[in-house]
Amino acid sequence: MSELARTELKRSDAVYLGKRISRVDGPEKVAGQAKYYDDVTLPGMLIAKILRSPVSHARILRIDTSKAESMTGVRAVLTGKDIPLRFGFNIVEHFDVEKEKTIPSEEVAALRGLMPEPRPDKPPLAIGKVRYVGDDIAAVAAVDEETAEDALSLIEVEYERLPHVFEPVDAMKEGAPLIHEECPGNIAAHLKGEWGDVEQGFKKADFVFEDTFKTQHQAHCSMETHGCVCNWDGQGNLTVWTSIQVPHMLKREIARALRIPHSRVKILSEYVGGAFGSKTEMGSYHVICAYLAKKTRCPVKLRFTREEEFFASGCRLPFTTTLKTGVTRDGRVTARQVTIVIDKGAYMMQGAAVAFYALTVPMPGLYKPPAYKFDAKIVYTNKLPPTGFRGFGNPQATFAIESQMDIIAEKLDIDPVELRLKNANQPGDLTVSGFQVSSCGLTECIQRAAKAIGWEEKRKNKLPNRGVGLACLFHSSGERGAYGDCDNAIATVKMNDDGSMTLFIGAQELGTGSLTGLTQIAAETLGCRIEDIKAVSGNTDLPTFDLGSYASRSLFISGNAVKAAADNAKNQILKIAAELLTVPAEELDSREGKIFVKSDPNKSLTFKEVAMHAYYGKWKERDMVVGVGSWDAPSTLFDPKIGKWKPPGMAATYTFGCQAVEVEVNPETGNVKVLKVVTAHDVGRVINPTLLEGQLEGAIHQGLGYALTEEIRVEDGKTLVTDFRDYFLRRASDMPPIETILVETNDPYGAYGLKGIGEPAMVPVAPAVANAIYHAIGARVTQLPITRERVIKSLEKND
Amino acid sequence: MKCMQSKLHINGYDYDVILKPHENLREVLRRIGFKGVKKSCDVGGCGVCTVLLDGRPVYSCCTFAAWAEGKQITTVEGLASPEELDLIQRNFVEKGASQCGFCTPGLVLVAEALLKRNPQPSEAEVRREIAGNICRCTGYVKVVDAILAASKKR
Amino acid sequence: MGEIYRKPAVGFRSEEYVRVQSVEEAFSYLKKYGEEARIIGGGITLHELGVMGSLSRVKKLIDIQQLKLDYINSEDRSIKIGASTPVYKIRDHEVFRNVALRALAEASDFVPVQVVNNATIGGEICTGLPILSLPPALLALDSSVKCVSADGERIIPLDNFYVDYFLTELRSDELVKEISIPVPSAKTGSAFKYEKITAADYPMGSVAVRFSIDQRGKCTECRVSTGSLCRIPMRAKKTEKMLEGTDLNKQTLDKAANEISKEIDPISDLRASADYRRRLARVLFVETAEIALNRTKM
Repeated sequence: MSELARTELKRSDAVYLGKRISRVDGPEKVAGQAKYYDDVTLPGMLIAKILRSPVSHARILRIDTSKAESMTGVRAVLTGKDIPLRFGFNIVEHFDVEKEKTIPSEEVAALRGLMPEPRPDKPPLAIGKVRYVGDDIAAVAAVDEETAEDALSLIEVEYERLPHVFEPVDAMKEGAPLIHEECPGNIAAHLKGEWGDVEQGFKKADFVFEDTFKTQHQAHCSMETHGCVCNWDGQGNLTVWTSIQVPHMLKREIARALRIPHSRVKILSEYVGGAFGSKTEMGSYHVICAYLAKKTRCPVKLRFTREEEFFASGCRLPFTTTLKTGVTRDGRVTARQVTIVIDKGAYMMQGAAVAFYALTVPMPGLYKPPAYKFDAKIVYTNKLPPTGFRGFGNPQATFAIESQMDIIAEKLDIDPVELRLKNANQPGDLTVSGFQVSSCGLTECIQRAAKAIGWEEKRKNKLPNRGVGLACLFHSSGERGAYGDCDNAIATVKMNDDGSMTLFIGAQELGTGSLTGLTQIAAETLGCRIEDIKAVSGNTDLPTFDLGSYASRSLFISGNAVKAAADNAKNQILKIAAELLTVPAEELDSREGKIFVKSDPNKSLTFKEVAMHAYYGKWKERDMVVGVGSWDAPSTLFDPKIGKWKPPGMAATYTFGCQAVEVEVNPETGNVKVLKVVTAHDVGRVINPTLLEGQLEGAIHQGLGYALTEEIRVEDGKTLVTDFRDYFLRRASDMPPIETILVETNDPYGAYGLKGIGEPAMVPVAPAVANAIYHAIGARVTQLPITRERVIKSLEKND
Repeated sequence: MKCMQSKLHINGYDYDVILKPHENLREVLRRIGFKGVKKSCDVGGCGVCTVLLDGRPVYSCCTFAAWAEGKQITTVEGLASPEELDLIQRNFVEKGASQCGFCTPGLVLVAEALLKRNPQPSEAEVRREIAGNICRCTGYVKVVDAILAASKKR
Repeated sequence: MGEIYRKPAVGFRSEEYVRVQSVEEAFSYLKKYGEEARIIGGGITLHELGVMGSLSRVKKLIDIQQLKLDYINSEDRSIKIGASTPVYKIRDHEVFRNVALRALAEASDFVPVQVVNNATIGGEICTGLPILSLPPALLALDSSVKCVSADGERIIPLDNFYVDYFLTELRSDELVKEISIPVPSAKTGSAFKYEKITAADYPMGSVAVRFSIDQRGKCTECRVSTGSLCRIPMRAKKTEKMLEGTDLNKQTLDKAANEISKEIDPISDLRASADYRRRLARVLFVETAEIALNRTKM
């Protein structure tokens, strides 16, 4: 890890940071020229389709693919026996003589003491049995989509139904059918722990509250569905065009699945049409497609339909959370105990990581309870499998925490804002789990959000059917442990012979604008003009690396790597300029495309002049300008010797915020109209206000859906939602005005003081809305989504 | 199956195509090479496949390609190139109305049609007009900003 | 021995796309192919059904754009709308701005605009889906449907047109040519309202109301129809009878609201339970009736 020079950059001195720079990939997108994997067409390309299980739980007795194989236009048919492996998040396990297992480092193994072993529970195509309606059984590659579809109808599957379980409580019962034979009680993982002494904490409390909250399956609804194009060259190299947040990690997993060196896999993902956490892992479809391409020796495209996207691409984990909190009479939290049951569906995917995050970040973090105990069961059921989704367990956890805080506020007769301020996290705080908060602007966020929504006035002079509610968040920038003892990235900067710069980034642009933000950081650091930098990413053959764009880490982790690379390149550039200007390099600086003598700025050179000298002139050291930078966050892993984390904890930096919402509820129809959302965030440092606001606004859209209308309804194990007509996404005319408040706290770790901001705004929406509804009409709904019928039911309960 | 020889008028040019009887316009346009017509949902739910038919936005995934013969079809490619964007497109870029970009072509076309028909729409009118297009990234805030800004600059 | 599974076919697998040049040509296809032929309206519902696998046996797709059924003609006694008239033309046409017929303009002005631009009134009527907006408004305006075939033509009041979910009176050898709406008497007002979960969704429930009043303000004619609440778009006739001959005021309307809630036999689905739909019927009726009543006085 390269040591970073802490660069203080005053806002007034910044050329690009803090400015509304137009996104660098904007023109291509608005002209319809941005190409995604489904826009790739190669000569001889085949289309793949997957045959899926019509039943929830069955043993496969026989699959007859002969009619499909002999159909005109069909080039290959695969079943489970053709792909003898199982995989899960971060693990691939082949089963034959040579078993390839992950080799955890010592610390990672220790981490596993708290977080469960990676679970390789999914074969790309069913082996032995199917476990949910939609499970992959067989795959076909054919000359076009219609032929592939028709070929699926020619595959005959003989199965023997097995008893199924749809609810975790049934799945855990004695004698319940086992979904995965190696998991007794269908418990995929059981996470337990305690920091501090909750029994004492509850004894110290004047009041103890216990409430249960339920959340639902939420669909990511990325506009671009999952899928890929796979193509082998004649020498055993595989190129995969796909929509993915983690190209380098995907490369690793696919290489392990195919048992080829990692360098033989190239992932191309220049543009991603939305992801939100659903595209952070290898999918069965990647392996199936690669195998089909290998067997047919043709490029193969596999694209999920929207219907498949709803049940096969992963959705948000539904939590049933029982939260027990002890508070003193004056509102201080003395202890927090949480019991969670998670419906994991048929396969684990990222279930453990999501639960782990919820249990170790917001639960012990928000309002820093001095004692904390947790017990979470992740339970298999015969239903669609959820995975990570923006917030990664935090929205589920915070719905419980922040709904209950308002219940507490009412009982104690303390204003909800006062209660938050009393318990707010402060800079320097250490949580019971060992997380050290460095920069923290939570108090300012609460105060400004409350003011902006008009809290005092609207609580004092309450209008009928109208209410205001508020909720806070505790999240992180990045997280350590998902892939090992690392949270890192590499970036490279190369100067071209005309003085322009090429920036190679490992971070993946998902639409969040990280490509633009990183370009701004590079331009600011290098002192070149931003229009002279071309940023390149989405290609694992580039000299870069990044674990991926998730956990709000792109600008935070890759930002530092980019800054280090740019610093590195700038030093080399100044050395060459020093030769040309005949002054020592320390007397030079660069800004807006010019390298100049600090004490005599008129003595200057352009980047082009320096480049010409380096490439074609008599530059004595003869080396080209290539700056490489990398950064690994100074976060830590769980230390089994002390039973918690050494500071700073799982992330180097934690993020905070507060949202306030005003609603108007129709007591006859239960319709909740959101009148305004105010969102205040501790962002460290604003790199690009337009892009930052875009993240907040988009997250609030998803949060409002989470709170009020979105749910993948499942009945008898069958996913009822088949297209957007059955999944209620808010449209442009359903959105309230959103006010964003950005609090800059100058983080000590992020480049120029920034923090990650992709996820936080998603976290407090649901409880803020729930609290506003309670204020409006006295209906407390503890189950998401807060539909009209649930509001009516809650009102009827009150009568 | 009787495939048909058909002439489609796309972005001002005639294209000779051979159509299957039931092929929808989205598939045909993408097949010819208009990849700016995107594919997100299965049918009629999201708007990313929006094209203009005789200047009016329709879902190309729900339109038989043969049905569109004789009509003016406009895709995003018919508007401008990345080097010379039109007013609405420039505002989309400046205001941050495009994030992942997948829904952008459809939205731009709806905006083009709206401002032709109603050059000074209110915010409510803009929101209603684009309500047939799903965006999962922006929350629509900056999309509306961009369209209103473009309408003011005309 | 276990169970055998073969995936059912999805999508279209049609043989021919036919652009008929005359009604007679249309009849010949319908007569010959019956259920295996489909007339295309705007195409939206056809595509939805096709993707779901319901139309894999349809062989002939019949394009009737050449039949020139795209018209709105105001005549003395009635307004006649050709079956191929796109919904946006109905939305924008001045004759439906009249307060007496406003319910139809309101029903034609829905989200998303892409569907309003493409869907035709013929298609909206013939799908037999209760969740569309035009049928309840047309019901409240006493519309009738002219169905033509090789054997002649028949006029079916829309009130008798819907049999069940996805099932109408239309025979497989017939096509809908025209919708006729009687010109209403003076002092008539109509309105249409719906409730949706999100803006581009199908309504959870919709209500259309038409009142005609006499010089003294007594209700001479009343039509109350519902959409998305029951298996078919239908009139609430008990509620109508309750209001005809009365003064229309808060008491009578509230009483009628309770009646409509009891009268309908609502469905339960993803959007709402039957119980909620009863509640919604009451709320929507009151709101819609108030607007229609105000319009009678304009």
